[in-house]
Amino acid sequence: MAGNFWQSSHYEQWIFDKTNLLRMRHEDLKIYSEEEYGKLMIFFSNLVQHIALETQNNNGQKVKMQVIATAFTYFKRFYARRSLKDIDPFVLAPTCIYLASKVEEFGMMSTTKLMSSVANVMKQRWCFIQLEVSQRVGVIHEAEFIILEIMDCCLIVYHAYRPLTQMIQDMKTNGMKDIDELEATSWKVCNDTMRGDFVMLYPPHMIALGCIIQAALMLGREKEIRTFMGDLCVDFEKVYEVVQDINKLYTLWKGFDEQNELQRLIDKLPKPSATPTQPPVQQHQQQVQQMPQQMNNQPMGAPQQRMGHPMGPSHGGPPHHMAPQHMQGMGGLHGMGQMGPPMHQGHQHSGGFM
Amino acid sequence: MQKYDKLEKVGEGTYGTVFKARNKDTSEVVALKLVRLDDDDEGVPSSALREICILRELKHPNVVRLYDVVHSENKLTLVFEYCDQDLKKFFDSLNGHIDQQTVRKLMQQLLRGLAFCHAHHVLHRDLKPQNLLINANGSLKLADFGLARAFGIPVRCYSSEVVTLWYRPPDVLYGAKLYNISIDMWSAGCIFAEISNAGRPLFPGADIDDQLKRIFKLLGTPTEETWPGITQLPEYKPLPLYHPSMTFGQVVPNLPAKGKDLLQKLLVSNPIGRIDAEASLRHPYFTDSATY
Repeated sequence: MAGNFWQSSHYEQWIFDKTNLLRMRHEDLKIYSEEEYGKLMIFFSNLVQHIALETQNNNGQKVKMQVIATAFTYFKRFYARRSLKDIDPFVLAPTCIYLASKVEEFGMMSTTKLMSSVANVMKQRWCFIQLEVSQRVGVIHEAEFIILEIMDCCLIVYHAYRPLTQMIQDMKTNGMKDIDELEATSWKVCNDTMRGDFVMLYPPHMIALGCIIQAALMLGREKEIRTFMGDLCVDFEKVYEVVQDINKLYTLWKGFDEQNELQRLIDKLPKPSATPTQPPVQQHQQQVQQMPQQMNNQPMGAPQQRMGHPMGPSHGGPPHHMAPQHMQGMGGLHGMGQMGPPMHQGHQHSGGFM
Repeated sequence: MQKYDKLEKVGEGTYGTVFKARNKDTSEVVALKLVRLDDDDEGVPSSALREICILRELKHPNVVRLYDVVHSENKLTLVFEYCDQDLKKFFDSLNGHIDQQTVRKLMQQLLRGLAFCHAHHVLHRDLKPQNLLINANGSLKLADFGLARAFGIPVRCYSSEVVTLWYRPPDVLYGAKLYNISIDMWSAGCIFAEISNAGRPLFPGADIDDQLKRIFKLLGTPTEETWPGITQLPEYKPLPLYHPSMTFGQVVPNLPAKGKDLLQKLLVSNPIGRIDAEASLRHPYFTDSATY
């Protein structure tokens, strides 16, 4: 569904100002600097995208960009309201894809396939990272329940793709020449904005405009779009804030040396302070049953086991049995350099806005 | 869930049982839809998710309100506003008579709800009397947005009840996959005729062939000339060339002329030719007070 953004739950409940967003993340920002948090989110957005592309739905179709963008919006919404210790982000990532593919009517994805995709993608793309990924059956179903609750069932996300398409169309109608290059670059920028906080800070049409301006700047064609921009009735101060934020994101991304920084960021992921004393499976069940109440009643900092935490009782030690294999894989390290900016993805249109 | 006292079972929805219940704090009566979480890999059923998504965003007097979604253990309960009956039960209470003022009021509300949904790019895709609720004040509300799917409308729903074909347009019966608002407008037309006849369904087909034949006996069998592209539809099959053997006057004898005119604009075989909800509401049947 598309509908009216200004009457949507997206606008009413999920657009924040920057200060508020920082305040909401205060617990995780005790562990990470803002910059580190930003880098961690860039990593998880790449992870979500790669898991999604690795896992086809039950009709054998490839995931659309729209589904990926919705999934990562869920991911960010969750961690805006909750700490990284409440659900293991390596569990939440496939859960968000699972939920988004249903909401966007893309079809069902198998939870088993999704979980194994997490492991595969980590092995293929981030083989220098040591990590044990939970493969426990049912963990995605449990996490789905919790994310629905934390998001207050606000599942419809308004992305910038739709207004972007309309604006490009308007520019074509107004006789702007050679628009294909500008269109393709705007789409790439738009795909990249998924990695930042844009969807929680700005309405979609402003993000779209920011992407077009950024694309024009990158192509040295800013003069050409001036007439079009002049005719628009929009808060340009805000739009230029979007453009600034896009540049900040690119700078952060360029400066993110995953090989040297990522392991440390992942090792710092907050772990639940409670030490498990029961067998993991029972404990998960019990925990999920209690979780909604706990979440409502406990202060953010209260001891709580993080759901789906992969380490289990021995979480202090290195995940040794994964290590040798990963070390061997180091030689084949590639692709990661390509993950960085400038935008590597193809020009992906996504349909299915209904 | 301790907040609610279950009063009685009201029915089986697309994906779970519906109960009438009372909120202990406010004593407000609500409808609880218990979502079955099957053991398979679907998690929260897509149909329930779709309903949650849509109703979370749509608030209109003619669309049923979703008050809350309650998570408890591994159950999901949707809390809806309660309505006393659906249009089907309302028909049963009529004993074959309905006054035309009521017909118009019900139809106007149905179209207002639809116009609102369509303005928000939401298709219902499964309109039928069982999905139209009527509360004690005579307000009509669209309900059950759960069945609609992106990849075709299933023939069976989860309770293994066969989904009725009676309200499906010819294009969908011929396997058209690209749905737009015209699917709901056809269903609205069928329901309009049914209301005006105090609950006698317009096209009660037994299977797809029978359904199409019943439609074409009233409207005439469409051809490439009257509906370009019809033979290209995925499940197109040629049927006898019926010429309209009945008139709308015979089919909906109680409806005033302006109502018949609106009905004919809704029941158009070629989806492109069907009137939309906004335009229907501007039709003289509603705007012209001299109708009665």
